[in-house]
Amino acid sequence: MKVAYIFSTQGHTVSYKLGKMILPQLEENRHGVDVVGMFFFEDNCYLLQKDNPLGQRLVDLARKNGMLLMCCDQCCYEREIADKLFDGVPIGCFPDLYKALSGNMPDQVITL
Amino acid sequence: MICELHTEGLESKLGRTVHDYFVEGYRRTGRTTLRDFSGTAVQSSEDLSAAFQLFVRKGTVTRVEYRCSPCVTLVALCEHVAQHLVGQPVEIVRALKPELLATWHPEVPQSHQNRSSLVIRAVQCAFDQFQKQEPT
Repeated sequence: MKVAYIFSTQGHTVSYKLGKMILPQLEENRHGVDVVGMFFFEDNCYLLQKDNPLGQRLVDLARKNGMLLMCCDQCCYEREIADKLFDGVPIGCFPDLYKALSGNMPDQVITL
Repeated sequence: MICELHTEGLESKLGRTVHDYFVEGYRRTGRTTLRDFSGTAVQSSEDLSAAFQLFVRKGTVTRVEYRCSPCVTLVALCEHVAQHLVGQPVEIVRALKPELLATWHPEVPQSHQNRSSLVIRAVQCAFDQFQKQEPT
């Protein structure tokens, strides 16, 4: 099964659910499903700012397996990080997300 | 000397961003859509649209109205152009280029810089219509 994650809520969404569970499981090839994309809202976008070590691990993984990483454009502009993300990580809105996923559509979209 | 350095720092931080213009643009246009607007819409290859109307008195732009597709970058660039034109000679529209918008907002990533071309085409379309109505 193919899934996409939308990181919408804040709190421990990125630091714990992604950083301590999903990412290590993906790195160890035992997450259980193919993750074809991740979309980040609000402060979760800071993860993909250049030099973020957790973000670097995620970007390395995405470059290896082709997983899409995208941040909400408005969230990035508001935080003034739209031009400070890792190379190859685009900003966008829902049309951009669905277009980017159209070649590898997930079976489920999971909002965290 | 210390005072000068402090001022320079402040000036750079007070620069208005895409987010600032988006918020203002959304306040201005948020209750209406392109369908409610009488200006001619110009479309991009990504199905984004924008339309402008120029209100001119004695050769000077007095008001600019626009509507566009709901895209943060597009709204912000439309709003910035609209604010920029008010009080200027209408002929200045001819001089607007997408590259200028890119210099205004270097924070817009390459992937979204095509919005600049759409905005310029839309405002120049409004200028053409203005000229047809009031040929010089």
